Amino acid sequence: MTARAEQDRELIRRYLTGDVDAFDELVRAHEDRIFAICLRMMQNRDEALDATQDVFLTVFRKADRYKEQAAFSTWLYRVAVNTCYDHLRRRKRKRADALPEHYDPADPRSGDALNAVELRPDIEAALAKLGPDFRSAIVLVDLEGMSLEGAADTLQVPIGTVKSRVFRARRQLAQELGNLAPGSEHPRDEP
Amino acid sequence: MNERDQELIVDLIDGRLSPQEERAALARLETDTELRAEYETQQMAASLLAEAPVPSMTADERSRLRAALKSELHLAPVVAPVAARPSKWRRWVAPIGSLAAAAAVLAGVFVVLPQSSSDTAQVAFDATTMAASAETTTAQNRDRGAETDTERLAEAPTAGGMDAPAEEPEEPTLDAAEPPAETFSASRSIPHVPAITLEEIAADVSALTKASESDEAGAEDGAAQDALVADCLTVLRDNASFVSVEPMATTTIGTSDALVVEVTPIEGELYYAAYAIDTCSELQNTKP
Repeated sequence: MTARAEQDRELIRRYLTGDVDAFDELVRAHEDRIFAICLRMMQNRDEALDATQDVFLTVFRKADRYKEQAAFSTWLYRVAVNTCYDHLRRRKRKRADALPEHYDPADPRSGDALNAVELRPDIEAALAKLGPDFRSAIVLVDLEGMSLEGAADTLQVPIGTVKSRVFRARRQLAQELGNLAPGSEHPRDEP
Repeated sequence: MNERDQELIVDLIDGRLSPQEERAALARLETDTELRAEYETQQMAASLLAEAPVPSMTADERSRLRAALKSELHLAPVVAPVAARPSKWRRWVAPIGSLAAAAAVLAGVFVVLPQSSSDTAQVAFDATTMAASAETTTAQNRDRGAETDTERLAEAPTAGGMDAPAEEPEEPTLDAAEPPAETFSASRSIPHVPAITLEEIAADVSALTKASESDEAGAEDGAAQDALVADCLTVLRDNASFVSVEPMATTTIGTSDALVVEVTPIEGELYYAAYAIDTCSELQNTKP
């Protein structure tokens, strides 16, 4: 177990016995990474910040759900991904409710929101086209540098499922970016 | 390309193969042009993403996040005392939060609050202020799945939390732009659907809208049912296993009036569940 994981366990134990300063330390230790995950998932800084807040509020209120079999960070990232799924669903519903009769969506390759995410706009636009399950897999593995096992633990799916999602997501990204290597253009199911 | 080849490529890029397996894989790439093309495609995509800068919060965003959390920490209870208390008590308190606050005013009780500034550990507040605060935030807290104000005020942690300016913040919070929450009304905000199964909802959430349009009259369940639905939602949102609980519809299952909710659990995938409105006990769910 890493030193960070040990510290996290100690902090969560302290917090569960009523030490709110320990929660403060947990936030400081993880807020940047949680924000990064939320930003990659939500692709909008304000929504990412909102999701990050909700992640820590969930931890604050429901920390007793954390079982020490897994690293605290794995549980935290799981909460983050599920919170982002939740926000994405709400966003989808809100947009569906608010769509005018002749809705003409803006070009996803333009706009400040994409630039603010700090990825190349074309990569961001390609990521935006992935379904949430595929996006979360590639965000954790390729953008956050998590191992396939770690991503499987976080997403609570078998490692084979993570591999399949990562494979298909990378392929669709390459396709969107016009980076398909010659000979790999055969059609596949899109995520 | 079969699944095993897909896995092989992912394992190769992720560096999960043993030296022997890696040599064998690279040898295959020399002779299998389709596999090689796919490997190169995958490798390019992975490299592009790996080279992307890690996004970070700006100072303003960090300050907004901490201010928002600090604001919540002032009101919310620490976990341990909540977990130790029987949940039944919670169900009694939820609908009478406002009454309890009013009673506190009448009794002239002084209550200990958590620090209201970073250099003050405990501050006694006049109960009148508390009651006013409780009234204005009850609806918001219900909507956010939080504790009732009475519980939050009584149980709020007494230790310091997030960094804060010395004065009580006028800082922007994440919720500042949200419109004030309305008092919960099931008949106004949740469609009533006369007959629908959870599987139908799970398959297509818009089925709810379609079904409810044909039964406008069914939405008139009255204030008593609204209160029960609100109470049940409070209990469900308190559930430590859930990230969020969204009310979807009221319906009838067997002989029970039921509340259908969409549950995002902390662990596992989203599912739908129906709860008896009068007892808040689960009737059905679509858990995988």
